[in-house]
Amino acid sequence: MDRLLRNPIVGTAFTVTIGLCLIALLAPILSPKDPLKMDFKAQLTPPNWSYPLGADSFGRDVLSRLIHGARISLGISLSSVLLSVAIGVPLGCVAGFVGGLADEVLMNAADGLLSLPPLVIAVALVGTMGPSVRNVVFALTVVYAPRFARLSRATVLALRGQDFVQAIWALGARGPRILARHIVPNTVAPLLVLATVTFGQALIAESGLSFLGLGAQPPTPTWGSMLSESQGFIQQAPWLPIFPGLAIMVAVLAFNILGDAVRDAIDPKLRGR
Amino acid sequence: MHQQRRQGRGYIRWGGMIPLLLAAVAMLAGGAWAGEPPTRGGTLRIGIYSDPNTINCMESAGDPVQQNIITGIFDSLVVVDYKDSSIHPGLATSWKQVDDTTWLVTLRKGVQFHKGYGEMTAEDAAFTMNYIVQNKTNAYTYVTFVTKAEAVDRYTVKYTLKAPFAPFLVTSLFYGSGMVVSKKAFEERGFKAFNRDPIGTGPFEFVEWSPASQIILKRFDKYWDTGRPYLDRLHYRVVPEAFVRMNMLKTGEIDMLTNPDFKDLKSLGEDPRFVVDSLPGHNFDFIAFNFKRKPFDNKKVRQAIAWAIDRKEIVDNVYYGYAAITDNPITPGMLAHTDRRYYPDTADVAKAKQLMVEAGYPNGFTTTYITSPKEQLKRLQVIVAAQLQKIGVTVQLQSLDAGTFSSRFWNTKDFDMATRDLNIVSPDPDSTLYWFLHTNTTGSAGYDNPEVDRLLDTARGLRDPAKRPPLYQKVLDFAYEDVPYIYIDHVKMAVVYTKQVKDFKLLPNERKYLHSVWLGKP
Repeated sequence: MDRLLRNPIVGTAFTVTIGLCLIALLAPILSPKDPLKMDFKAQLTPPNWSYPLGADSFGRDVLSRLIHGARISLGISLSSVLLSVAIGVPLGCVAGFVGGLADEVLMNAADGLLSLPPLVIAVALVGTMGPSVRNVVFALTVVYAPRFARLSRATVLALRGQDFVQAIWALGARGPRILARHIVPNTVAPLLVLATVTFGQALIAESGLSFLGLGAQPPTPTWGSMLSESQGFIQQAPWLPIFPGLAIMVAVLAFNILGDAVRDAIDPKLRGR
Repeated sequence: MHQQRRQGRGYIRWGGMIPLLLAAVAMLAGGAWAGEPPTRGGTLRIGIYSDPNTINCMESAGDPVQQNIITGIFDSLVVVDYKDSSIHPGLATSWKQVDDTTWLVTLRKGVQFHKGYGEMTAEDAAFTMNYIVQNKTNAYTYVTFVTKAEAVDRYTVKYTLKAPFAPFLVTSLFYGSGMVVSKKAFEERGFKAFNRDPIGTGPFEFVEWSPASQIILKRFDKYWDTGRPYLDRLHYRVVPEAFVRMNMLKTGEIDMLTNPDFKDLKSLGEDPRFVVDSLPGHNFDFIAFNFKRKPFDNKKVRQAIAWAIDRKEIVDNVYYGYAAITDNPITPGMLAHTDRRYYPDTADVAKAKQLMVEAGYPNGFTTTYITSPKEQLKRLQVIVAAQLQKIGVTVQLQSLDAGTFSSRFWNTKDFDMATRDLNIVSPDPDSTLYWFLHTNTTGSAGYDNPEVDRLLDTARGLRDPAKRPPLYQKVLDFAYEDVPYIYIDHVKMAVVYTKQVKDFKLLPNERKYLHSVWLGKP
């Protein structure tokens, strides 16, 4: 890990990630203004000292909205990734370990979901259930959980045949214990990589849903909805779409680099280089 | 500033008016255009924001895009001048009220249907009305009080009403229900096919409709008003985003755009290539409460919210001044219109807070507020939410797609608070008050006041127009006190078109008559 961070790109990505998490956690303290406070006199103010990133069409401070938006956008992405892990991994492990009918059913279901474009499923789900933060998290979980199920199943299958597992079998340990104590811990590394990469994708998906009006409802700021609200003002106030757009780009890039770096770090083939 | 052509001038020259009157108005108005004679030919390309639901007049109700297009395909029996609500001939040349509930209408002779469907007769007119009444199509809103229509002879239709209804001509024979479809074509095609491929008598006939792309109409060569229309074709281009429509106008891809974003009007008006035309519309934005749900069953809560609304802030920041503040739904020019105001233009937060205390909600409450996808209304609701926060009411907005919103708003009444805009289709106070304040009407969200019902029922039956306004004023008094709805503003109608487009007359509603419009030299 230490060696990884010495790579300047990875180091930057890591710093950015930590920074974003801090911003999200400390949003109420960090944001200079109330993100919902409208001041119609300040409508579409270009960036200046009192509005560092300008003001939007309601005269709300873009910087404050961006900071609070980080909270919602990162929060939704994080919750949906954690939930996907919490649901996908146990199902995948059981499918891989038990095999047979359970494996058939679970993996066919997962394949079915994986065969559809993620955003389409998410839009369909949120569209039918109605837009809200909870439903977005649910939809993204439905979209991403199969990936974790697939990956953990593959890892479990590979591990199941290995000598150390066979040895424990021979010693008389029971299935659940082997799974919990000896197999699952070994799936953590690949899952961590997938989780980091998925986090970036979830962020994009969340922004997309918010952009379509299917995410957190106005006036709650999210990066995607800030983009969407600014689209009518692109010519008059270009800073409105630029800053949330940049925020999404930087965050996704940071998570992707970090994901790559983690994979490099734990891939035995690359180790020692 | 932007150029504005107000209604003051030659504004009644459209619809199916008798050619003589047309000529007279043209002469009056002629001076303004330096006597340039209209020329035939050309295609007018119009940017619209969505597909219409259908283009069948029987399905006409509030859909603005539909209003826009069906006025080309169909003519109405009478034509109303919005300036003074006077009634002029359209497909009908004369009419007579036989008794309280019977009307005889004489049709124009020699009016042809599109695509060789023959002459329009009383059979067609009676069929159209009866189909709407029997099948309760969307246009039924205009004719709920009609029992039936009969063809007395080839050119005379007899309408029988259930009860006396004073604004019958204005409400029933001008809008969708007052247009005439070809019975033969309708029976051949069936309702569904006719919705997308209609046959009328209007100045333009239907050519094709590519959903989400464009609708094409072409000149009807056998139009009864000889010489018109001047344009060869109409291309309605479906472009949902206002700023894209604006850019298409700037790059010359369209000649006219409807429903502009009000914030763009200033810069468009400064551009010498364009004409920006606007006038106060026959419409209103309003907030509706669900009377069946707490806390909106409590009158004090509704009053508190009414006092907390800052209409000026809304009009300035949603419509950039392109709206007239109001607290009632009777627009200028309409019978019983008044300048009397009960609620101020700005909020009275102290009074609102006091009412919240009296209502038993000193600390406020949390509620939901459904929004339709219309961008301006979303802005309006975000501002309303911020205004209500000041009296402790936390409003959670829920964006819905248009279909879901409609069904929850009109049919299932599944909302706490809702906002929508309404285009008043009939310039009579009955249309804006009855359908919302009377019990068991489509618009009603549970308001039930027998006295209001009685006043509304009486007022619509009075044959003397002068006796009606006092009754409507009494209805308004109840509406102010009971707050079934909060009326906010009348939004201006606005269109932007190139200077090449001549003789376009903007109306206070979404109907856009193009039969007198022509294209000048570029």
